[in-house]
Amino acid sequence: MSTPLGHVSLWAGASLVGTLTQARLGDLSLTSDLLAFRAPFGAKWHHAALQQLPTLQQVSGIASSATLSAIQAALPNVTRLGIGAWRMPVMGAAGPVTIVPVLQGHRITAQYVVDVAAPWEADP
Amino acid sequence: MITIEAPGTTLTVRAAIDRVDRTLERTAETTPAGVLVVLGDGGWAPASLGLSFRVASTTGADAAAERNAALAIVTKATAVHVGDRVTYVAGVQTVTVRHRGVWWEFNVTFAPRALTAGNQGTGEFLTIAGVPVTLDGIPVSWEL
Repeated sequence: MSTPLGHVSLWAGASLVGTLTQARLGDLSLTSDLLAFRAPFGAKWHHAALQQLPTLQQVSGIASSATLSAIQAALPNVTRLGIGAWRMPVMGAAGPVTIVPVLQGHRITAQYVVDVAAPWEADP
Repeated sequence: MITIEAPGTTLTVRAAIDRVDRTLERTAETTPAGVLVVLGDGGWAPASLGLSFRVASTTGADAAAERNAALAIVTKATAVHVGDRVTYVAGVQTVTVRHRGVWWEFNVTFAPRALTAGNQGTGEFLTIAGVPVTLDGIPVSWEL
């Protein structure tokens, strides 16, 4: 079952939590803590501590009023984002969640912790 | 064409933006008495190398597999080849991936080890009695 175009489905394990309509993937932002520095009055560059930091994937979409509370409650436990023919593994929502009422329901903007090394799964 | 090299694999892209950002360690201030004070030794601070490119697919509509493959290579990059020039990188500092419908926009910032061929490592070259130690012609460096 693939997620329709323009939709993003939210999954907690094998359970479908809800579907966001008029949805769009925002930026995937990956930042490492790689430090580059130069010793005072030296010429060589040094680098330290390459440890990948958690990556965040922003998703924005509209939830109907009937499903809003269920989606809000499940946001910390979302384990997959359904996009087209794929499910992207995530580790729950993180940080600020913005909910704005619109004509069709409520537009939810949230960001999810992503392990970039985890492979996407084809929708069964 | 720009080739991003990671252990055991490469990714060749046609970059829209290829830029090096550099900074000189020197600042100038004026005291309340009007005296100009210059701070810093004027050396080059570590640079950053920015690449911007698109990832699309000729076989799939969503280019998801290509996007994931590109992301895996970019996050493990060790060198960037532009023509005959090789810039060895210590790693990636930031990556932003933006969905553009049927293609993906990548903005990547690498931390180069050096911009000159003389010192591609971050440490001191190993010498014995003043003679550089090499492995297959490559100087060996060490770092504390």
